[in-house]
This record gives sequence, C-alpha cells and structure tokens, in this order.
Amino acid sequence: MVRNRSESGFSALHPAVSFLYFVVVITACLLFKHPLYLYTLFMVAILLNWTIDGGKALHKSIKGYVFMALIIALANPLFSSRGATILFYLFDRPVTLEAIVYGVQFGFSLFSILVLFVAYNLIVTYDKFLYLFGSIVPRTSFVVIVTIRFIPLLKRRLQDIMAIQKVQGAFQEGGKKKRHLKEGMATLHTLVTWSLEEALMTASSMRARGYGVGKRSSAIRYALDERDVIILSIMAIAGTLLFIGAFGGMGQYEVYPQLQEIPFSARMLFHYSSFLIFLLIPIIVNGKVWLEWRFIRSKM
Amino acid sequence: MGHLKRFFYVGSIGLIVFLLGLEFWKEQHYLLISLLVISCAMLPFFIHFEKRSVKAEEIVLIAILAAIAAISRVPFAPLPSVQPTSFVVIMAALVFGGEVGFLVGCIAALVSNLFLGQGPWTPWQMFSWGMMGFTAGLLKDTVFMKTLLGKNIFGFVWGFVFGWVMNLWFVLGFFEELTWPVFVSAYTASFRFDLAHAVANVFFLTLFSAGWLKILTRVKVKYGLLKPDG
Repeated sequence: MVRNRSESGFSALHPAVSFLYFVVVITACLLFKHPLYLYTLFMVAILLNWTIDGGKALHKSIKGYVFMALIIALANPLFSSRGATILFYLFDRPVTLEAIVYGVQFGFSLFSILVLFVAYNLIVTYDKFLYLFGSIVPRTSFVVIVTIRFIPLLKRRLQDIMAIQKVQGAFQEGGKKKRHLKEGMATLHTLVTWSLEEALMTASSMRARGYGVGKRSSAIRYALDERDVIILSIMAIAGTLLFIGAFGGMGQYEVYPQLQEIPFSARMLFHYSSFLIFLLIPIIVNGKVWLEWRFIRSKM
Repeated sequence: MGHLKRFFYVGSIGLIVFLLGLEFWKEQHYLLISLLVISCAMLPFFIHFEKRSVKAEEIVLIAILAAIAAISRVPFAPLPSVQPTSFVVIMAALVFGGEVGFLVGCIAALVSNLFLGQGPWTPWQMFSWGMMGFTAGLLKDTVFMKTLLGKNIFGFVWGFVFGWVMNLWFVLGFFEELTWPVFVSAYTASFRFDLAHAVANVFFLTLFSAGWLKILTRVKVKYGLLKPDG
C-alpha cells in the first residue's frame, strides 16, 4: 500500500475530481437507506482510508466514531415506538425491532460520513480546497490563506512573549490561579497589540507592492490532464445515473410498519452497479498505483 | 441587459435550490435541507465582500483577527466549549462592525478545523460564529452593548444559542422522528457544554473586554480603518 502521504494515486488527481467525489459520496450516505448500499458505503469508507495511509489517521479517532454511531443506533429505539414487532418493554415503552433496525441504519450512515471525512482531510488538503475556491471567491480564499499563514507566526510570538514573561518572574510553578490568569491575560494583550500593528504594516507593504492591481494567480497549478478527464467522465455518467435513480426511489428501504424482505430487482442491480463504480474510483486508482509499484518491469 | 442576465442567473439558481429543497423535504432529508438553508444564509455576506472595494488593510485585519480567534481555540481543544474564540469574534464585531464580525467568525471556524479536523460540523460552526459576529456588530452602537452587563448577557445567551445550533446537524440528520422528547434529551445532554461556553464567555468578557476594546479601537483610529468614506 501507499503508506506515505506523498502525492500519488487518487491524491495526485486534479482537486476538482477528489472534491466532487467526496461531495457525492457523503451526500449518498444521507440519501440511501438500503442495507446493501449502506454496507457498501461503510466498507468503501474504511477501504479508502486504508489505501491512503494504511488506516493510520483513522486509527486515532475510530473509537470516538464507533461510540457516536452506537449512541445514535441505541437512541432511536428508545425514542421511537413505531413498528409492529414489539420485542420487549423498557420503562413501559415498547421497543420494536423496526426502530432498532432504523437506528442501526442511522448509525452506519453517521459512521461512514465521519470515516469519509478522515479520508477527505487526507486527500483534499487545504491548499487544494483553496485552489478550488480561489476562482469562485478569490478575495475570501485569499483572506483564508493569509489567516493560515498567521497561525504559525502567532504561535512563535506567543512562545517569545511567554519566555520574556518567565524571565520577569511570571508563570511560576505553584503560583495562585488568579495570578496565572492575569499573566495569561497579559500575554494575550501583548500578542494582540504586537500582531495588529505588524499586520497593518504588512498591509501597507502589500499595497506598495501593487496588491489588487491585477488578477491574482495561484502559486500551485493543477492542470486537468487526460487521466483527470477520463475519470471525470466516468464520474459524470455514474453520478448522473446515481442521482436519477436516487430521486426515482432506488436505494431506499422502508422498515415501517413492519420489516420487509430486502428489495432486489434488475433495475436496482443496474443502479447499484453505477453506485459501486462511482464509489470504487479512488480505490481502483490507488490500487493500480500500488500494483504498478509492486510488479513494475523495467522496459529499458 | 446586464440586469436581465443577472436576474436570469439568480433566478435559475434560486429555482434549483427551491426544487432540491422540495425534493429533500418530501423524502425527509432534513439535514440536507438545513445545509441548503445555512448556505443560502451565508452566501450574501460573501457576495458582498467579494463585490465591494476592499483595502489591503481590511483583508489583513480580518485575517489576523481570525487567526487570533482560531489559535486561541487550539490549546483549549481538550475542553469542549471552553475557548476564547467567541470572545475574540464579539470584540472584533463590536469595534469593526457586523461584516468583519461575520467574516472573522466564519474564517476562524474554517481555519481552526484545518488543525482540529474538518467534519460535518464545519459548516455549522462557520454559520454560528459568523452569526455571533454579525449580531454583535448589529448591536454595537446600542446602549445595551455599551454596558458591561449588556455584553455579558449577549455572550451568555450566545453561548447557549451556539450550542443549540450545533446540536442541529446531529439531531436533524440522525434521528428518525423529530419529537419534543428527542429535542429535550439532546438539548439537556448538551446543557453542561453550553453552560460552560456561556460562562466562559462571561468570564472573558468581564476580565478582558475593556482592554481589548481599547487596543482594537486605537488601531482603528490610527490607521483610519473601515470607514465607508475612506
């Protein structure tokens, strides 16, 4: 697997491709209720994380996500008594099989969304996000870029100020809480005064160098190459089929009033295949890269 | 002709949003509807900011205030709801007005999540902090907000409103029946965190606000910032 976070496979594609992918897949998590669809989304979300960094990023937060999904799954039968199959009574309220199934569906969909966001954070890094929005809202994304630049600067200044305060006798171990707060306040005040003045100097300097004269260009350029176009066209076709089917009632599963057999038809199979093709795009791209690295034969 | 074209574009986008909303409503995808609604609520602020003439000073000022608001959140990350971000947003709005307040809140939410992780909560945080700044800016010249008590009440109320808005993505998206018991239990579960946020706001406003207002106002006067005629 590609274990480092260098740009390869799906992350190396044009940011529009990866951004569009995540928008569609996360929307799909909210649209579909069919068990097969939900299970596929769940598996794809985890598999995608695994192909990106071997699941390292997911490992950090998975416990909390499982916990959240469990709460959602358990909460539904406690609040809802709809459904015909009563399993038992809890505090004089019927707990139905249907409500439990519905809760589990919600749990799966929330969990998939959270896991997909982990992959999103790894693939659509902020420079790509800003590149995408730079052409639509140039001024706002410029403010965001400047803000991001200020963060490490402010961190360094905070350390500088606190070092000087320590020399002057502040932040001593075992001091009173009130004194600590006062000293913290002084740190923040100094930081604000210093940074505001400096920021405005930066602005004058920007203006002197001709800020706002012409159109802004991006430091990083992403060219839409042949590979991106091919993948975008596959996504467009599969995605259109996906949404037409979704609004035509595909991928749905009604648990109320009583659990039905899981619907299955030729039409659904067709819709499901376009859904699956769309979902698997990054996994196929990443897998192809991995295979090439493993079994590459030099042609020289 | 230009007007007609603009009318056509805005009208067709509005129609698409309306039809999507109708479809989501019919299928009970409340989370998707609510995302549509908050995007539409935030859009005018960004359009206005993009279209009007802006000095380099304003851009850097908004950026530095958003950076301060965002960075003040990072060290407090283990303590949910206790962070001075709301305080910084309110201060920025009280001195520089509603639009700056909105942008500082919105961008602080976006940027701090670059470090803490983006998630389904990001748009809601952008909306909540943005609106906190906007409302503070609207009230900035009233007698109410000039007093410390008024500011404290404002911060206290927003501490709760912020939490209530943040509960929505969770409740709207992942509960089946939106009944009163569901809302009451979700909101009582979050009460402790909302109270912590509200109390933290009061704490910061009481101790810091006078000093911050002085610093920010001084900079505003010195550099003649954000005057409509400047």
